[in-house]
Amino acid sequence: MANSNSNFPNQLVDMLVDSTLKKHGVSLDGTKIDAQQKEQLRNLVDSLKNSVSDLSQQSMAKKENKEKNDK
Amino acid sequence: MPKPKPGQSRTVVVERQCKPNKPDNCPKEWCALDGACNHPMDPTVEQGANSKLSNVQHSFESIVVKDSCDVEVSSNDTQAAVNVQVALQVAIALVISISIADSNTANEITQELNAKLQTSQVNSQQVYIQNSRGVNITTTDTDIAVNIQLLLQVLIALVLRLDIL
Repeated sequence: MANSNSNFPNQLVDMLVDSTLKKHGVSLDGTKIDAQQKEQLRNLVDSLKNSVSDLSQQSMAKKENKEKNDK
Repeated sequence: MPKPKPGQSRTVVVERQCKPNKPDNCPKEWCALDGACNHPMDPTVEQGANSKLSNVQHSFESIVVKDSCDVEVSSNDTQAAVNVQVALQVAIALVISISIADSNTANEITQELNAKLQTSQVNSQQVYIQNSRGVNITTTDTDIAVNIQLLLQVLIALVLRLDIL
């Protein structure tokens, strides 16, 4: 279900979430959340995605610069 | 206690002791001499819920410049990742809390997920410059906690189950 192209297999994340929810005998129900909250959550997730992406890119760029300077 | 005269020094000795008269609701330090104190490792002592949510990220940086001149040091300590990490943890807790009616169950699930995702990271940098002239040093701590990616994936997995994305 998780559709991210990062370092961790999606299967692992799905299993982690599913097993935790199953253990507590609950399932996430999207119908309890109204359209406004869904929109807010969507924006929040997009914003966090961008933050993580920016951090990763900054980190990569700095590491590359450092390696160039070391050479 | 009389004030010391000019030129005199005053030594104050404070003896550390237990304070059994402290109010019960005030958090107190464990004291070996107080028989009524339960040891912090005692399983009967209640642990706070946040004890499971510990993520550790430390940076230790040491730069020593000795017998040198014209040394320029610039240091960037990237801890911005910590802010994103906390934001992701809060977002996960938020998604779980608004989608599960029972707040106790929601708290338990949040704590369990965070406990499984906890990581630790320690960065250590040491630079020693001695008898040098005209040196430029740039140190950059760019190691970002790996679990930010994992936290984001967990958040996405949760919101996908809610048909939000």
